[in-house]
Amino acid sequence: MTQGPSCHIVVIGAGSTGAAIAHDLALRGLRVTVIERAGVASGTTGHNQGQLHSGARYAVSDPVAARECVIENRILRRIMPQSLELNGGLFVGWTEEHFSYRSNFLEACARCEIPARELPVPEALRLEPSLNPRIHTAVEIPDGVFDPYRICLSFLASARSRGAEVLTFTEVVGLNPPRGEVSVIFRQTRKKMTIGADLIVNAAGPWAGRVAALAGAKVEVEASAGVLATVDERVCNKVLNILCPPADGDIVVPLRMSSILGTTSWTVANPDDISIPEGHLDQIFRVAQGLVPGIRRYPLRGVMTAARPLMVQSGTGGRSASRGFACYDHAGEGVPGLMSIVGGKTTTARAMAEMLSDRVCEKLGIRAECRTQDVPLLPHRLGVVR
Amino acid sequence: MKRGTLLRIHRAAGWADFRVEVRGGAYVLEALEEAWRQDPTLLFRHSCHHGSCGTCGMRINGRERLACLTPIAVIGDPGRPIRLEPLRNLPLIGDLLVDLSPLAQGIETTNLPLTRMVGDGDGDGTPVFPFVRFENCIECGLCLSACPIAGHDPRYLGPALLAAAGRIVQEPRASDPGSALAQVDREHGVWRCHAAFDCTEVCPTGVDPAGLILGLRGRLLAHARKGKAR
Repeated sequence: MTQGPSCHIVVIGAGSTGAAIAHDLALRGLRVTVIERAGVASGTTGHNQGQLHSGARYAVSDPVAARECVIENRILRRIMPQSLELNGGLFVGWTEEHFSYRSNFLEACARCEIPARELPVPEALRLEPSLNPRIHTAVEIPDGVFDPYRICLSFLASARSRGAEVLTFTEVVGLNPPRGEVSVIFRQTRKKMTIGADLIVNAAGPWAGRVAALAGAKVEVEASAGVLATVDERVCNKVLNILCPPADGDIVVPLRMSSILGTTSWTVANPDDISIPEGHLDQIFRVAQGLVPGIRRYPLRGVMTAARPLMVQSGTGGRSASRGFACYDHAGEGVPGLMSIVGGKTTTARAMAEMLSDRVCEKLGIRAECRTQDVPLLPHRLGVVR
Repeated sequence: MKRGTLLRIHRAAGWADFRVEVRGGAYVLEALEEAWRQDPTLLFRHSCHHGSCGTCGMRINGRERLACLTPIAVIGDPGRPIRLEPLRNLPLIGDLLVDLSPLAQGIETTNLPLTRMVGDGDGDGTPVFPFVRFENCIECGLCLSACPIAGHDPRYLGPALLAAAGRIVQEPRASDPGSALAQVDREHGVWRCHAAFDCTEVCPTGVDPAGLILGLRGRLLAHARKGKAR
């Protein structure tokens, strides 16, 4: 049986990774406190295109991430069906270059066990009348759409129902993992407090390096920024992707009554201060216009930018970097009591949480199986915290 | 090209001015983030930056708006500060930060699902296959803040909750429209609304709470008439 309840884990960050970890650990019977310096999903997760990946986008370039996506896609459909717009997705092509990518793409999808089915062009145009009428290829894949903020709330609602505490607007100002101490400041009252932890988990996304540094530990994470633009019209129901290797602005995601276009990719030094480079909005619209020729007719609704926390591997960066994830135990560098997790995507947040929570339990000698694959999440509204 | 903007923010100690530089075409939320970089004690909520999460609601120059959807160029008079105040009728935490959990819990009592089915004949375009999409309501609280009744009747169920019940009656899905009607058929429910329509006016996603409330009243009156006729 678990000795879980005696162990207290402090999770830093209430994005999709931190929220999923809180849910996983609470479900295994551990005591969890989540600390977030602003509101839930106020960082990378919130500023998210909302694409529930089928994995097809990464099938050719990053098959490991592609496989993770298609597996997690199925699991999320099971545990949070009410929180997803499940209308599928299309990869469409209209140039010769797109056509030459086609067989490569279909073979890669098959290798990654991603269900991909070619649709006759007239059928695709009937389903999505705003699509470029000159397309020669349309492949249907099981993409979907999620509401990033509300995914986090659902994970947190479930964690809280099992005793987890979520402290928002609470900033970590000091870390002493060997002694199990997390020093925080409550932003509202400016009061300081030290929270005791048996283990500290750093799930701060692109800020993970900064958090680790508070403990004298090192996390290498590349902050890869992207710009997204939203128009005031639902131009499609399926997620529309261009049949080409991942590139700037090649996806249109319908969400509620609007559509999100994006994204771009460049490395930034400070994820707190990302200014939108000249030309990025134009670039996004120029590419999206290929998919949906009428896209410029609709009023611009909003513009956003955030940094993806990419795993650093030598020789890669930005677009070509893996969307995979990794966790680190800092005991190896002389800082026991601290683990970090970087990389990944909101689609794979549950899997990231499973991997990290397995490591946490192993480290603490707790025998508890992961159950997040099967336990349905609670409604997001129960996860709204002060 | 960066432009200077003056934000006048309502804080615990009174009004505080922030002079910030933002890109042309920037939204109020971007200016607010710039102010936060100057003063990290500033409290406000934000997540999606495109009017989907519903967390950055506030009063901008006296009117309820989402900061992420309000372009500075549209709201700002050159040379005059943009006034930012927290939403009303929700517990104030500090600065522009209010507690949205009472609102969320209220809406949850209606059991409104997050998603709706849309089929043929919805809206102006006719989709060729039934599809699922998220409900319009983003649970931001703008309607509750703008409502003149909610301001002086704390027991009033409020426009967001009533609109959620209205959506269940329109499209019941697995829920019971009878219990949604029973929930709102009371003095501090649909009958308390004075049809000021401020809720509908400030809603950033076209929910039309006032219209839904009037629709619920119509349904309840029709039920009552049927009951009498019997």
